[in-house]
Amino acid sequence: MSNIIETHNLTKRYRDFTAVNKLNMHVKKGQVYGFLGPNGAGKSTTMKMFLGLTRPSSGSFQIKGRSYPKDRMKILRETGAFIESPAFYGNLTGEENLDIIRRILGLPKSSIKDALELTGLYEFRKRTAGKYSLGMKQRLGLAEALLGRPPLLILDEPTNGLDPAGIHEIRTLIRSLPQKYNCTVLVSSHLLSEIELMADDIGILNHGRLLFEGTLPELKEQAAQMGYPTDNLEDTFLAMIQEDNLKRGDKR
Amino acid sequence: MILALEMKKTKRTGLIPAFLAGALAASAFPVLNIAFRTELFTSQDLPPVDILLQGNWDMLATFHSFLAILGACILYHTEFANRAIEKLYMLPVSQGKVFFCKNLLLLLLFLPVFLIEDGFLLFCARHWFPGKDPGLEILLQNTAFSIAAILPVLLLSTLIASLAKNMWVSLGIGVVCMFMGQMTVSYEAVFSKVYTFCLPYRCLLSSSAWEDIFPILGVCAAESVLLGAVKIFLLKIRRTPV
Repeated sequence: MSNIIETHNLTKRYRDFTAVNKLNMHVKKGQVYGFLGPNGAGKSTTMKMFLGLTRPSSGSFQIKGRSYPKDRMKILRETGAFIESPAFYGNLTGEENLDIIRRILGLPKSSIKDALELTGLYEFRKRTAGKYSLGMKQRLGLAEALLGRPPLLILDEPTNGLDPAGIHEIRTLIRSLPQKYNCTVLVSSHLLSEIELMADDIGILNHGRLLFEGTLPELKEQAAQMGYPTDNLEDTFLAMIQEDNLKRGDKR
Repeated sequence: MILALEMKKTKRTGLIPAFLAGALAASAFPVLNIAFRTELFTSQDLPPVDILLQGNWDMLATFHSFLAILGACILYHTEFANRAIEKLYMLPVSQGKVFFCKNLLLLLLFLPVFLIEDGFLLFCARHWFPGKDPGLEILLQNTAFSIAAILPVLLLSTLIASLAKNMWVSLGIGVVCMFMGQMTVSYEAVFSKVYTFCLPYRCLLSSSAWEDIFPILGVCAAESVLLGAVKIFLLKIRRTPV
């Protein structure tokens, strides 16, 4: 299976702090890739680099065979993104917000209804986004990312601020996207339990370094080999992170 | 297309009512000024248009500068308030184009402002100087000149507003710059001839010679190009919105 995203020693440094350290990740086409790591692991920084919101200090990456910064505009045209928290015009309605993006992307008008229905916002389309609840704002952010059904979706903690029913709904939606719309999803979270329910492949990041990349069964296998608990994946993840933190502490 | 989007983004922001209110407030000033000090104005032996512009233009220019700052602040506040600008950075759209279209939009909004003011000045000329030429041609020439003079102010105001996430910061900087212009405009120093916020205080009278006007237009053009280049340079070196 070909990779839609490939990074080669991708690094981002902020003065004396390294947010992402020689990252080599591979996101397969048509899969949901769960990007897992504790807060501050470098997940958002990596995603921001993919979108050209921050420049890599060294290394490179390719998206659909296109490289940054040469093909940034082409990459953005085919990538739907939701980073950190929803971004919208509070003075415009949900529908008007999507219309701004639709016009920039040159999509048909029907794409707005499609995205609103997909995220359950259709009945609230005429309400100004500033008056939306936190969950509705989150859904609007997702609708913006899903507009036009892009071949690649980059979602940074998309279920933040949603109620349990909303979390379930969005998880189900993300899980179904590759089959329904033939797209690839890169989704980040700091909760393994969440990623476990959505992702085909997992990448575990800690302090900017990729500790593991592979499928869930592969993670279990590796954990067993290394003597980590395997009954509960949350414990596996925590043990992995803890050991890496201890190693880093030793190095210091 | 970007200009249409910028227009759409101003919905429910109060930008158009602010410009309309600004135009009416600015236009009311010459009427009230001449109404309360009729003798002072009508006793002068000058063309009515010159009397009216000389007597009121400083205040009108202050209104123009303040409207430019206010407009720039409103436009960028809508971008920053709910992080909409960050979404814009994730879309295949040139940030430079967005910046210049915001300026074009503000410039277009200034056109009715100037025309409303011209209407009120014409009313003053006809009402208080009956039988004399109201100087419509000069007023229209002054409008064209004022559009050129306000352009660098718009570019500087939007540049400041685009760099400060907090609207009060850009508004504060803009107002300080505006008062600096107002205070220094009457000096003979080079600074008051080239300072961006001094330019809107210049106006075109029937006695104005083209050799006096062209250097001012040259300064306006040079500053506009320079400020545009600064924005493009900043966009190149700074990837994130702020």
